Order: sequence, then C-alpha cells, then structure tokens
Amino acid sequence: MVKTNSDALQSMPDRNNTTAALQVVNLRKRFGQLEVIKGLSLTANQGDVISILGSSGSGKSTLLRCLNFLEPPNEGEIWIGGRQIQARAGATGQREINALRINLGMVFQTFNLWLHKTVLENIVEAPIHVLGLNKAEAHLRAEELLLKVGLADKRHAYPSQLSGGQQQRIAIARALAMEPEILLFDEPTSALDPELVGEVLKVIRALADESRTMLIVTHELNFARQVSNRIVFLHEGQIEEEGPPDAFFTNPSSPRVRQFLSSQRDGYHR
Amino acid sequence: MTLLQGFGDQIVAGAITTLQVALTSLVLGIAVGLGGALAKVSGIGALRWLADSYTTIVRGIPELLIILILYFGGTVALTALLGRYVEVDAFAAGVFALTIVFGAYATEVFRAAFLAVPRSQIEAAHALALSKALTFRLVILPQMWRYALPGLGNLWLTLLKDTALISVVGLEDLMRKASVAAGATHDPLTFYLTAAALYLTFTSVSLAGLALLEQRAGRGVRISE
Repeated sequence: MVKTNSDALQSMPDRNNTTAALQVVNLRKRFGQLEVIKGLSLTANQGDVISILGSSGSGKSTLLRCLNFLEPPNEGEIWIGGRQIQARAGATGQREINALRINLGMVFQTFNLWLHKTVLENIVEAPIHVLGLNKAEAHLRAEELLLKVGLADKRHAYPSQLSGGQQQRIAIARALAMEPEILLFDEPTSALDPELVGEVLKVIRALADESRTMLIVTHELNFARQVSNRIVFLHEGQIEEEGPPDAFFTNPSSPRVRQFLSSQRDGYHR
Repeated sequence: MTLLQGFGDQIVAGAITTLQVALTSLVLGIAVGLGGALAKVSGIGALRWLADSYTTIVRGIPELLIILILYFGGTVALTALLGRYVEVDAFAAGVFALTIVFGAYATEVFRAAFLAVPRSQIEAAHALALSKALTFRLVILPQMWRYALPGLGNLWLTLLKDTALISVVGLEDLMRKASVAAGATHDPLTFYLTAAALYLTFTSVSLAGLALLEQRAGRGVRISE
C-alpha cells in the first residue's frame, strides 16, 4: 500500500535531503529461500553517476531490476523525487509500478530492442502510448535523440540490421525518449564485441556530462572510475564498500574489494 | 454443350459456399484460438483447466463426429429451449463445428507462439511502463503472429478440406454439389475430379498467400537486402 502524503513525509528517511533523486531503503529480494538483496539502502543525489561493481552473483543486476519492479522486491521502500513506493511483493499496484517505471529509464545488457519494429518505431511507441505525445512530437523527440547517439541515418533500419553497439545506442535513445529522472544501465557493454564497447561508453559519458542521474552496473573498471562520482561495491546482496572512485580504486578498506580489484587487474594482463 | 452437363452453376455455387464456411470459421477460429492460448498461459487455474479440457476433448475426437454431435445436439438443445422442433441451419452448424475444431488446434499453435516470444522483448516493454494490454498489442501479438503463421497455415489447409465433411448434415457445399451431380449424370469421375481441382486451386492460392504473409511477418528478423 502506498501511504498518504503526510505519512510519507514523516517516514521519509532524510527529510533534509532535498536533492535526493533516488532513495532506496532496506530493500530485500528473495528467490525462494535464497535472499539476493539483504536490506540494502542507497541514495543517489541529483546528477550522481553511481557505478555498481561486484562479483557475479553479488546482486548488482537484481538490485537494478528490483528498482523498476522487473523483479518485484519483497520488502523496502523506493523513493523517487520525494514520491514513495512501498516495495512489498503483491502490495504495490500496477499504477504505482508504472509511475515508477516512467521515471526510471532502463538499458539492458542485451539491448532488447523490439525486433519487429524499426529504430524509429522502437523509440516512439512508449512516448506515444504512455506519455500521450502525439506522433509529430514523438517523432521530433526521436529524431533529436537519434542525432544525439549519432544514428540518424538508421531511423528506418530494423535492429537485426545494426551492430550490437548501434543497437545499444538506440536502446539508450529509447530510454531517453521517456525523459526519465534516472537512468539504469544493466551491464550495457557486456554483450558487445570489444571494438564496439567504446562507442557505447562514449554515449554514456556524454549523458554523465549532462549531469543526469545514473546507476551503472558494469565490469568496465576504468570507465567506472572515469565517469562516476561514486562507486558502490556489492557483496552477497549488501553494500560492502562505497565511496568516491579515486579512494575506492587506490585505497579500498575492504579486503574483498582489494581481492576483486586485483583479480580484475590480473584479468587484463592475461 | 453446356459446361459440366448443366451442373456448372451448381458447382460454382457450392465452391462459393465452401469458401464462405471456411473463411468464416477461420476468422472465428483464430479468435477462439487466441482466447484459448491466453487462458492457458494466464496462470488462472480455472481458465487453464477450461482451455485444457476444451483442447483435449476436441482434438481427441474425429472431426466428423464433432460435426454430427454438434449438429444433432444443437437441434435437440434448440428444440428443448424453444419448445418446438427447430432444424439447425447447416451453414451455421458447419461454421460452429469447424470453428470449435480450428480453435482447439489454433489454441496450441498460439500457445507455442506466445511462449516463443523472448522474455526480454516483454521486459523492455514493461520497463518503458507500457501496460499489460499495450505490451500484448504492440509487442507480443506481432511477434506471436510470426511464430504462429506456419502452424496456422497448416490448420487453414485442413479447415478448407474439412468443409467437405459438413456435406453430411446437408450443407450445399462443393463436395455435396459434386456428389449430387455425380449421381444425377452417372458420371462421377468428371465431377469428383472437378471438385478435386477446385480444392487444389484454393489450397494452392492459399499457400502463395501464406508465403507472402510469412515474408511480411518476418520483416526485421531476416535481414532484407
């Protein structure tokens, strides 16, 4: 159940924090007996670019997918711009979930562009049907975004005619077309050939420069270091360490983070 | 010499009736099949049980029997209902029976097609805040269609030929007209071969049409040059 406004204000975790774009409080997610997110809390301020790192199975992707209810969380609260979603499985209405999703743009590891629709159709469907834009407005917005991701000449192509890097740039444009408060990137370059990673990172970097609020689950450590103002390291469904990138990469306090970083470096030198 | 010993008009009329029965049953059967498939994947126990019973029963009984049972059953039911003897219209009975049969097989075709749509395509729609109904209309249905077409094509050919069974309850279709003409002229081979040629024409044209539909439904999937 979503609380009334007065209730919500009282229970807001940090009332003075007016710049918080996203607050996650005590989020829990179980798959059967297995608890994957164990009471995790996280705040993203306006313009924060937070990279979420961690070994596989640490709950990084599940965390992002819980935020927009692709995996309904079992417990916790999600606040977006002062609006609360009580995240209890079965207790959150579809209307609440969709209000949340409008504000959270999701970019998937495997792009997930609709295969039967052209690039332009992929971008305009949700703005037309969800936001109620008319066709002309939606197309104008789509064309601007295609210019931004450098793919205006591909507007009538089908996803299967594009490279992975191009598909991911279109997927980013599709998410941006909803003008979300926050962008969620779920390993946006993990499915790409190495030579295509750069073009996608360039687009994400440009978005960071516009001070958009972003949560990025990634394995690109150098990129995370350059583009984020905060690193969050997950271990077994909890935040093991968080801090500014320089401190995180040069002087992590957790032995697990040190082990993770050294194993990643070994990987590069193989 | 008049065409087909004067039975030309009759044969043409029968062929038109056959096409009418088949096309009407096709449209209704697709609707039934979609409904049945949705019931099966709905996760609602009662609906699934209903759809499972329907497909199990209908697919397990010969079409001819279903037609006879529905025709005579319909007559009995309507007579009881209205309190006087009613003879069921052969066209309506034929369409009803063939819709029931086509719908049962189409349910399975659509169910398989639904399951073939990648989960990630649906998640993308959900993440963009598209409602369940919009997700179904904009994403699931067009992609299902592509997976369902080859199976539906097969069912359509079967349906077209099954219309011949309706002649047993007196529908003046191509089969019955050919049979009447064969009896009247004592020249069965001519009329049965004519009927066969017409069925073959209909199915051949259908196959060409299906190929076009499949090409269209597959746009974006196979890279067009």
